[in-house]
Amino acid sequence: MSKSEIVVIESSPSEHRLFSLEEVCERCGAHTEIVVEMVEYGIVEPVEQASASVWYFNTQAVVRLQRAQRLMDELELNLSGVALSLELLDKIDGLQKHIVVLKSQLP
Amino acid sequence: MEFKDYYKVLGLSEQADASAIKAAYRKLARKYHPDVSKEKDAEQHFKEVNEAYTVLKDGEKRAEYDLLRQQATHQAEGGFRASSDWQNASSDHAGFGQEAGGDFSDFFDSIFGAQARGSTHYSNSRRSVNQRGRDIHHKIALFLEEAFEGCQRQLSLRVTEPDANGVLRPRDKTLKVKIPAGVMQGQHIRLAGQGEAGIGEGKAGDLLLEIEFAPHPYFAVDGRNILLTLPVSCWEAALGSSVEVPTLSGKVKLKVPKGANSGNKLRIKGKGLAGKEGGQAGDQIVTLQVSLPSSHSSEAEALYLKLSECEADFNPRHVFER
Repeated sequence: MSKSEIVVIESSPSEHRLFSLEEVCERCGAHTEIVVEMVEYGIVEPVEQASASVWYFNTQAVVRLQRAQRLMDELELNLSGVALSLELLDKIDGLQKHIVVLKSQLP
Repeated sequence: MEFKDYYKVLGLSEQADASAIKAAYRKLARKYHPDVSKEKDAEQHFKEVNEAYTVLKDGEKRAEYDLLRQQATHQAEGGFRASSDWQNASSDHAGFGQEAGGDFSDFFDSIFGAQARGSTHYSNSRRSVNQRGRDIHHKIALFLEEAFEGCQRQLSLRVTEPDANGVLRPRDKTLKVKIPAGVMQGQHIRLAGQGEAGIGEGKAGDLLLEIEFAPHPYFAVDGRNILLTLPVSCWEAALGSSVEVPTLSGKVKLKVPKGANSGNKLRIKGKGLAGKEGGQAGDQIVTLQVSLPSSHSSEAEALYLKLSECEADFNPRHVFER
């Protein structure tokens, strides 16, 4: 193992970078058809653009696609299974946040 | 090195057949999958489960492991050490693939060799010699104050990267990251090129930092708004008053209107989390909570008695009467 190194990242990360379909596929190790299907199943949405002919995705979408890909590979889920799981997980997250907010209001 | 009981990890007896192993694996994989699980140490458990399954589902590996396990149980206490024989015996295992990302224990490596864990990602490298490095996911917990002001944080991570020969090796990495003001719970910050190194001329992956907020003793967060429950005395509420209130940017004076009540909400504009790129900041929303002393002096009791006479018409339980 090489020695530990310290890298200082000075610039604040850009949130505006968008990724094309090809870039997203490379990042997720997924075939184009799978990503297209994930969009069709509503697992992720491309960023709204003036021209709808070319898809672009933001960082949050890339993270979600990678998550979906892992669920497919590691839990052998199909696309509707992934879509349903992510939806339910989102719902649980929302509810848990709500509980925290409500608890904070209790005397 | 500690001997790992793969049967125990999967909750199986050593007589378990292939379908029982698969069923146990699937159940535990669902339970501990880091993308799904709310369990503590889910990721560590998931790795162990994967490692156990990789060995037990494979007839050859399982036979080899069973032999070691028998010998290990005969050994006196004091840790397990893979003998050189075992390593020799397994040297031709190189090339086994496995399903989930290769991050196995030293115990696994000592038996099957580090090559045996080469993940699918890299074992498919004959497809192309240049491959982009994988993205790394990491969570970072911020105090609300840090999220509000922006901060610099140091984080240490271990990345598994292919070296010049394509063999996966762990590397410790320390990064100092500047977190801009106005990040939100659950948001990901992408640090380009800080992920795993690429293969060949492939670019390095990115580091994706997921922002989490550490619980605050009295503030809560709802989107960009900060929520605070503010206790006020019943006379402050009844008469109206000016009260000092903490916000993320220091104390401010808040005017409690005359005749305020428990549950009333007051908004302090712009004291929430900063907006994205100079966008509109959230507010602090203050919920009043009328609070009473736990005991009263006889003088106060006399005043309450007088109050009860003045306010004889007030029925706090009117909702029960129809």
